[in-house]
Amino acid sequence: MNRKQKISTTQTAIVVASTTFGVGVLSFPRSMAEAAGSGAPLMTLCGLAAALVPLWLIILLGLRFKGQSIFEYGQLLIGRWPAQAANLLLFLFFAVSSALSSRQFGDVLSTVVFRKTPIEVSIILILLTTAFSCRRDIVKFSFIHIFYFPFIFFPYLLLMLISLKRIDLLSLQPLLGNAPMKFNPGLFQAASLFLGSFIVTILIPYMKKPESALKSGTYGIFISGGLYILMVFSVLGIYGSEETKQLLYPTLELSRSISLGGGVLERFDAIFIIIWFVTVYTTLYSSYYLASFAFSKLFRFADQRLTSSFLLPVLLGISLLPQDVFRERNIVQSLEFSGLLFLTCYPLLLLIISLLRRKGGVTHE
Amino acid sequence: MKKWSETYRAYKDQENSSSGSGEAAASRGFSLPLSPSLDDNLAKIEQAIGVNGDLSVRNFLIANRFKAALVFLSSMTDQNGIRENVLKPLMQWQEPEIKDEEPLREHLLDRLWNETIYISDGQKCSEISRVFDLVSSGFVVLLLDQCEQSMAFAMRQIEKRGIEQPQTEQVIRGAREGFIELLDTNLSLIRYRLQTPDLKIETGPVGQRTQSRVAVCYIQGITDPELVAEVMLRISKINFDGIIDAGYIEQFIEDQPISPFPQIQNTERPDKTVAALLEGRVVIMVDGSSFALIIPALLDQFFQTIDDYSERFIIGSLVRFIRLIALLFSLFFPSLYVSVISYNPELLPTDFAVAISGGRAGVPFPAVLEVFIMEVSMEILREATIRLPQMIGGALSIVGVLVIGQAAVSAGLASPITVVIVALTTIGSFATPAYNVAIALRMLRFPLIFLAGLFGLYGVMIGTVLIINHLLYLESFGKPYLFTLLTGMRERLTDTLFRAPLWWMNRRPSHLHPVDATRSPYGETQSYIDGIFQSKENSNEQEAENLNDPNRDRRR
Repeated sequence: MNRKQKISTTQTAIVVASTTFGVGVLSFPRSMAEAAGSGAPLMTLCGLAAALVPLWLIILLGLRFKGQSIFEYGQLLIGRWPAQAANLLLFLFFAVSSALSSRQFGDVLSTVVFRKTPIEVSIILILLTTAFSCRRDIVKFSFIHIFYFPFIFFPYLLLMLISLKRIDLLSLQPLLGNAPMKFNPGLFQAASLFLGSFIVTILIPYMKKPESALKSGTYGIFISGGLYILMVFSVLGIYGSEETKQLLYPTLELSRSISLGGGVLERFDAIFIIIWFVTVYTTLYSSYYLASFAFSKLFRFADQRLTSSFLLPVLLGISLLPQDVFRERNIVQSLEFSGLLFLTCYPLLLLIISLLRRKGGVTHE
Repeated sequence: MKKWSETYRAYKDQENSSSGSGEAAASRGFSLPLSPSLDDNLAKIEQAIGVNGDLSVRNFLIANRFKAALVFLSSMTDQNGIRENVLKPLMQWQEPEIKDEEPLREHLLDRLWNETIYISDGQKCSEISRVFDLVSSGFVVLLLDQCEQSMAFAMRQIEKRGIEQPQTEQVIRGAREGFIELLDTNLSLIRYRLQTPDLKIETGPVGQRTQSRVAVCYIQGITDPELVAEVMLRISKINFDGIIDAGYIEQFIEDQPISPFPQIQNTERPDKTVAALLEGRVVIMVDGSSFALIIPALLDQFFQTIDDYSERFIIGSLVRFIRLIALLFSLFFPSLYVSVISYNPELLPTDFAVAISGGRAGVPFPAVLEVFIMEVSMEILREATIRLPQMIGGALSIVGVLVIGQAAVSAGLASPITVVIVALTTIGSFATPAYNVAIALRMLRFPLIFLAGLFGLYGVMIGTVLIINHLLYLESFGKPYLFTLLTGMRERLTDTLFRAPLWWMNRRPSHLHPVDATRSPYGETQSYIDGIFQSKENSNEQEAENLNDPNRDRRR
């Protein structure tokens, strides 16, 4: 009876896109403007290109070891204990990054919507919502992403299209920025936006056609990266790079400044926060899922059902650790940097070893 | 007729004599063969089920010397038929010329069955417990002296009501027939609409006490055999004393009982049932219930009616959009109203916001409480109207509208806009064709109202995400509940929100894994419009293929 359901190529692309298009949406144009001035769109593009490297590495590995995720073939390649140590690092990265995403979400809610509500309440709510849905298999996991994706993609696109008429092309020039670009934080920040694409490692075993994973992963990055670039483009086009640096949440400001349908919706920002909630939810869902998946692999549980509930208080604790927004931002930055480094180097190492030891791939089957 | 005092005494005596269940079972002689003596057998039957007022035993002689008896329940059998087709020929039967006694006694039962009895359906049985079962399910049992076999004739006749239009699923354009309680009548309603030898009906009893006949219908060569097997497996696992209604079966076999959403569709309409069978679904029917269960059922099925298909496709599609809007009304309207009023009034145009707050000026409650009170009273009114006799029902609904609408506003209990919202919500929920989904969504709006009161739009969104995630998690017999809205691209385009022309729906839903995936022979379209794009001769000379031909190619 139980015909095994599989994930198609398009669906994988959608999962990657909705995972990578996430928490950063609100403040991302500001950090880009800080790094590159009016060259922000170009910087985002560079970040996108840089983000493709770890993605391709992980997909290539996935193609060599069909039916396995990195948590399993890592042990095959470099031995059990070193691989478990790497798995622990992976788990820590995704656990901390999902905790920090929920913290960032709570920050926005308590500065914009619930000014008197304690931040713990908003964090607990979104973590609970996520934890409820983490107790299911990967096909159902992809269903959730597929269902919400149109509700993320089209509103943002609409927002950009509405704001197009107010863009001043002059504030986007020069394209390379006035000062030399600060690649050090800028490129890493842009590239780390797409770290969620690591999710393909657990998707590939469930794909109908795993060989097209490379295509779907790249398309997924292009979809979300395209939206990011459009967003930076329109925010900078409207506010200019100097003003964008002053805005805490430039995208939210953008949504405040427009109205729709001749005054039927006087202000867009409340609706925008709702859409943004879904955006954060899908991203957080992926990293939470990855964290609990990694945790279950670490201790050799059958699946992530138990670990997802267990992680909830841990994540809540981690999310409350940073004392204010500024420290939080520092932590996020160093986490993104180290994460990007680790998620590029570890798969690279595995790939090289698998090539040298001739493990996996067509020959091994 | 005995007096009640005598009946009572007899009952008490019987209780005293057979204390302990083991003895009672032994007295009914389970799995004992029939004894050769007729009197013995009759005594056993009288002892076991003889206290019933409607058990009849008719003793008579066959050919003036063989002692025989007919045993039946007079309440369930066709008295006239017994007289004319069993009793009369048996009593008039004359011994043949050959006076060979012993062989005749051995073959008497066969000879009677072959030569005299005018009944089409009968069976032999040699166990006494089987005799009990047959008698209690409406068979007439013929017992012979010095014979260890008995013969049972199917002569069931049960009073039935006429075939009427189903009250819960009325349509504008569609058949006016609905199922009734008798399984055989219901099966005939399906049979004459679906005249193919491939329609298979498997029946069997379910329920230890009621022995209700449960029929599983499917079309061989269309329906996925694995689905049929799964349905039968789940039915076979039901271990319960009584199946009163098809709803009992539904609750025992559904995938996820802890869910407000039904995962099995029920219908009173034979035409809908036949359409489901043709799509490759399995139908379950229960004797004594006028509802058929359709398996599997996905969410969008509950929003489709038969006149979506019988009416032209543009109208059908538009009506479906209206239904979707009504669904969104009934689920979200009150909670959106509460959250906009209490948290985000800036979303509204200024004039309108001022008008609303003017209307709410005299109301002492917060918006969430106000809406909650009105919604609860609306639900009470709705529930009360269902239970009321039709005569009073109409009057009550007028009183309800007056009291709850007009008077509540003038008493300062609710603002006029709240009344509008509540009315829209209620009407919206009645536009959903399936009662069980409509009530699920109606009940889910209460948690949404509370979340809206607590966290505004953000709360509504959390509630919505939880509901949608639950829907995404649900399965009906292994088929994702939202399949058609999610991954089934062809199904989504042809038969969900939009109802495509019939000739475009030439393939069966893929999630059902039909054995025969095409509905028209070679996936060729046969409409006038499509004919324009084909060469003339080709479009005119199309001839319908015989789909009942078992040797035909089937495309999976």
